[in-house]
Amino acid sequence: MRETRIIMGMPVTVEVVDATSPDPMTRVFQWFEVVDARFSTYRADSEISRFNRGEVGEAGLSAEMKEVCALARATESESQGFFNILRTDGTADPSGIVKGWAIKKAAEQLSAEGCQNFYVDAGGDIQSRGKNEDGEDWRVGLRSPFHLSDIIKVVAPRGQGIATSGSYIRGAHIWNPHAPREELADVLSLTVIGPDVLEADRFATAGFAMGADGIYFIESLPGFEAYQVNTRGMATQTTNFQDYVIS
Amino acid sequence: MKLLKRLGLGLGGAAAVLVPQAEAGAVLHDGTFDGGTYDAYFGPVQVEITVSGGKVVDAQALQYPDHRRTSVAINRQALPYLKQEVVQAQTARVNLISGATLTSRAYVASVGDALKKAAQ
Repeated sequence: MRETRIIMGMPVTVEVVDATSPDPMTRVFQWFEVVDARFSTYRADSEISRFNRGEVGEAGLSAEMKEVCALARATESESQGFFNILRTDGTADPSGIVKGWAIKKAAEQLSAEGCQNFYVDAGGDIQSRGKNEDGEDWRVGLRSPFHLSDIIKVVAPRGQGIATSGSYIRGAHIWNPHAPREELADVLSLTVIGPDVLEADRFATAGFAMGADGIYFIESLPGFEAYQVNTRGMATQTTNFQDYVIS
Repeated sequence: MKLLKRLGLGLGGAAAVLVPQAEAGAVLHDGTFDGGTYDAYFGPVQVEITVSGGKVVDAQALQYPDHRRTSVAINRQALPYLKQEVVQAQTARVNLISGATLTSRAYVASVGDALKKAAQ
């Protein structure tokens, strides 16, 4: 059973192979609605918006908001400051971490309800468990940054989380540390496979912000692998990324 | 289609939200129109569209998130050589797709503003 809804401004897809009713999936969508109502900076009545307007202090925040903020702070220190939820105007925007956190919680909920073969995909960040309906490992295609309809790699995360950060925008020039005189192309996308989707998401976000250095940052993290694509159509992968590659 | 192609990567699934806005809107006047500035995760996003012959022919980002810093505290002497390959499209069967949607809301909001201006 599979269903897609647009929540938090992105497509959220849930497929549960062993579901006998749509109820577990419906509860996942309800959970994403709750998360959006609480964390969306696009909603004036969300908890984060009320916090940013000073209508609620830190002491009055919900346990979930405190959990997400603590995760954001941890990620900031683990990524040498590249991950930061504070905007230039001093208000907070935790959206860089909320998505991965919400997917992880949704997957935990499905597991707790006895589902063993499923995935939760929110805007291209994915937590899968078990097998697909053909009894195979879930097959995840990596989208081409150049042509949205193209797949450039197929991987089997096998229970790990997978997340992609990217932009069509060309940013500042980056230099190759191995060849300082050679200008490198900008990074277009960074896909990270990690212990769960929250871990993959927060380090994909931080690693993408590092530009060309991001792939080396992921290489330095135990338990994480990554695939980075630049504007020249070249991909760089971490040492053991190949272990996940189907084709 | 050029608009979607150029913005496509940032928009991801949200492109579907954008299409009806462009098509359902009345006549677009020729010219250049700036959208509002919106917060994306890495910083502000503002998009400018160009309309010609009643169609959107270009979309440029006037402001975009760029938090890259000049130095990273990674020991460059210790960097390993990582495998590189040329990106190639393939036709393999997949269950689902991972791709970027990071700043989609900000882009959609700014493009929506610009389209409204073009229709006025």
